[in-house]
This record gives sequence, C-alpha cells and structure tokens, in this order.
Amino acid sequence: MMKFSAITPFRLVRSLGVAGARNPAIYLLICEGPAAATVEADLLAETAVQLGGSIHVNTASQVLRDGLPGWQDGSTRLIYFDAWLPDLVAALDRHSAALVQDGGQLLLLADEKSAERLLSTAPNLRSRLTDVFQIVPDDLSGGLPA
Amino acid sequence: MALVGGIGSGKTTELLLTMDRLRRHDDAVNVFLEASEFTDFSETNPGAMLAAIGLRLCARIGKLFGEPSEQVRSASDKLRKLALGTTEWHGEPPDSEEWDGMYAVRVPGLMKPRFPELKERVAEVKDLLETVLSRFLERDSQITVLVDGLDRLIEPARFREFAEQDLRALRGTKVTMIVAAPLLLWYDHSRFLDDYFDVVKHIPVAAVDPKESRFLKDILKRRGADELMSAASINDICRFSGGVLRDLLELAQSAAQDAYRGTEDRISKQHVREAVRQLGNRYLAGVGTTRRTIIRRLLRDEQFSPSSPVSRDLLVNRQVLEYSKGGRDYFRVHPALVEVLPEPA
Repeated sequence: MMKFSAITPFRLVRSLGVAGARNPAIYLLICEGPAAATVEADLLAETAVQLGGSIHVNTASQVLRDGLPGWQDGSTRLIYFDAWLPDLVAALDRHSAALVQDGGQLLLLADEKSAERLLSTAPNLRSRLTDVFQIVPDDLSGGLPA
Repeated sequence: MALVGGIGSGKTTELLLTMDRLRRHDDAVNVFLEASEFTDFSETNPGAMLAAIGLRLCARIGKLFGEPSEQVRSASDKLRKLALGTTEWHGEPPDSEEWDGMYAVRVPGLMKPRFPELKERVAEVKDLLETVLSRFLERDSQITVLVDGLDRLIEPARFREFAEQDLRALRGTKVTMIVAAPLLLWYDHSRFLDDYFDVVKHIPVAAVDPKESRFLKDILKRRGADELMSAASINDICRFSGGVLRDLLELAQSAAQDAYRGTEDRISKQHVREAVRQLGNRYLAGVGTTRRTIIRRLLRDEQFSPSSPVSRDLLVNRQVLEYSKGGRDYFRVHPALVEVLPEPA
C-alpha cells in the first residue's frame, strides 16, 4: 500500500490558489471509489468559493474518446480515472510536457491501484507531477485529514 | 548533436540555453521544435519533422528577407499540403441521386500519422525543404534546429523509428540539428548515436555530490531559499534530490507548500522530510521483488549493470541514477527512494 500524505479538497484548493491560476501544476489524487464522487463535489465547491472559478471535469474514458482540449485560460481540469486505460496513460506520458504548458492546472483522480500503475508506467508524467496525495472528503469542521 | 539524459536531467533547459546563446549571433536562424508539434507518437510518420522544420522556416522568410520568390512560395505551399493534409476534389460519380458532380476526398498530412506511403515521400519533403533553405543559405544564415520531446519515446527502437529517416535526410543540408534523445540510447549497443550524430553529449545528474554542490544550492538560493529555510534544510533538499534538477525544484516546492498548508512562514526540517518521503513514495510505486533485489544489491555492494531490461527500467524510472566522474559512469539508488525503501522481510 502506498503511503502518500493526506489532504482535503479545502486544503488542496488553497494550495492551487496560492500557486496562482497561471502556475502550471499536475496533482495525482488517490481516492477509493465510493468517496471519489464526494471529493469531486467538494473540489468543485471549494474552487467556486475560494477561487471564484470552476473545474472542467472529464472521465478518463471521455478523454480517451474525445481527446483533451487545450486550455489557455489557466483554469483547472480534473480527469477521473473511471477505468484503467493504458493507451490514455501512454498518451498523457508522452505529452506530459504539453499538458499544462499554458498555465493550466490538472488534477488526476484515481483509485490506489490505478494511481500505482500510473506512477510505475508513466515516468515522464510522474516526473512532472507537482505532488501526489491521498485525498479525503472535507470534514464539516474544516479540520485536518486524519 | 544528440543530447542524452534521463528524465528531469535538464535536457530542455540545455536546449533553451543553447538557443539563447545562439540568438546573440546576427546570422543565426534558430528553430525550436517540440516533438508533439509534428507527431502524436502513436505511430511513426517519417518526413514529419522535416516538414515541420520547413514550415517554421517558411514563416520566417518574409520577416527576414522580404517577399519570397515564386519557387520558394510554391515549395512552401506544397510543404503545407504534405504536412497538414488537404482536401482533394474528385469527379467520379458516387451512388447518390443528389450527386452534384464532385465529392471530397480527405488526404491526410505528414503531421498526422497513418499515411502508408510516407517513406517514399521523405525525399520529396527533403527537396522542398532544400528549396526553402536555399533562401537562408544564400544569405549565409546559420540554421540550427533544436528538437525537444522525442526523448519521451523511451525505448531506443521507438526513438530510432521516429528519428532515423528525417535525420538521415538532413545530412548535407547545412542545418545543425540538436536533438534530445532518451537515456537508454547511451547504454544501447546499436551504435545509433555514433551513426547518426557527430557529437553526443551525455547529461548525467547535475552534481556528483549533491549535498556539497554549490551549483544546486545556488539554484535554490536564487529562488529565495535563504529567506525561507535553514542552511541544513537547503543541504537536505540538495542531498535528497540526488542531483536531479527537476527533483531539486520539486522537493523545494513540495516542502514550501507543506509549510504553507500548515500556515507556517518558514520551511522546517520536518517539511523537508515530508517532501522527501512524498518523492520517495513516488519512486517506490511499482517496485516489486525483483527490482528491490537489484536496488538492495546496489546499496549493499555498489554493483549495478544496465544490461538487463529490469535494470534499464530502474534507470529510466530514475529509481537508479547515473553519475559521471572523471569519465567513469557509476550508479546510485535515488536517495529519496532509499528513505522509504522497506526493510527486507
């Protein structure tokens, strides 16, 4: 089992905010299935409240089918790995340098198994990750993750 | 020239610095190409790199030398069609009552793969490129093309597939090429580097002794590290980066963000330790029994040979770093990985 630091959507969005909208960043966020929907909702809400913006959300399957549109507005995108898609991961790896070159911020949300496979099979992408976190839903008191 | 180095070793930085130096010369014409401009890497598309160079040079002609000649303009148009594809109109009647006499056939371009007869077209692209080049060469321009990104094709065979036709075609064109190439070519026995490049520059990790490296410390200090952390923390970041420039910056950023999230205004040793653990865990992902055995042997006996596929994987993934001192290459386990490597059962 991988042991990455825990973070909540509140604290992650705070980091994104301080880095600035034009500061490119790629985060790998590890979250097991049932909590992923809550985390996604929390991220959207925190982004709206803290940054006054929104997150463009796609599943990995959608990105594989339709491609990842370029974005120049410094906004945040989230790709949720709804399945392990080696072709998509290979493409993200080879294009890792271009993923956020225009200042966007990319969040990759995956379960532990997919995250571990991504880290071990996509060395270019791994090298460009800003950080890797176990992300857990915010508790209502806004306290630290357990 | 081939620039060979591992992931995050600073190849892109070297290319950008080279470009910056070349800009000082009035007769320099420099083209910086990112591989994803001319390929999606899904399959080889020989000739695409040549076409991309040609298009970039065409775009410069008007600005540098005024109105291009008819010959150059024609070559430019043909290059554009070859590179980007075109729509051709055919007069054969299809089976449709609403036929209006013509139907469109999309002819894909070189810069979009899937074009079976591409290899035969490399010579055609080369001729067109030479027409464009002539305008520069008659003014004694020194053309340098810097190609980044092909090193992300980690396997030497894949890199060769992409590069060899275009590189061979450029021989004798008076264009200087500087190409970032994957680290494994350095350890490959195929002589590809010797055959295709006049100069091969290996970029190992930036510092043989990261903890003592003034160079690494200066990089952090120029970014304000002195004001945010102690000298001991700076030393730790340098040491645990293993001398890999990207990891150096990553560790510093990760420690700073950890401090910020903890609402502290200085980076403590604890924040650095946490950043090291985070980086080490990244390198630990996917390291199974066989890899751990090789890693432990390197730690214990300082023995490592990049001859087996598993060993080469460790190099590509930066779990093992290559150093060079006095012309001798040697290997070390990434120090951040050592920090989180579980004890053998």
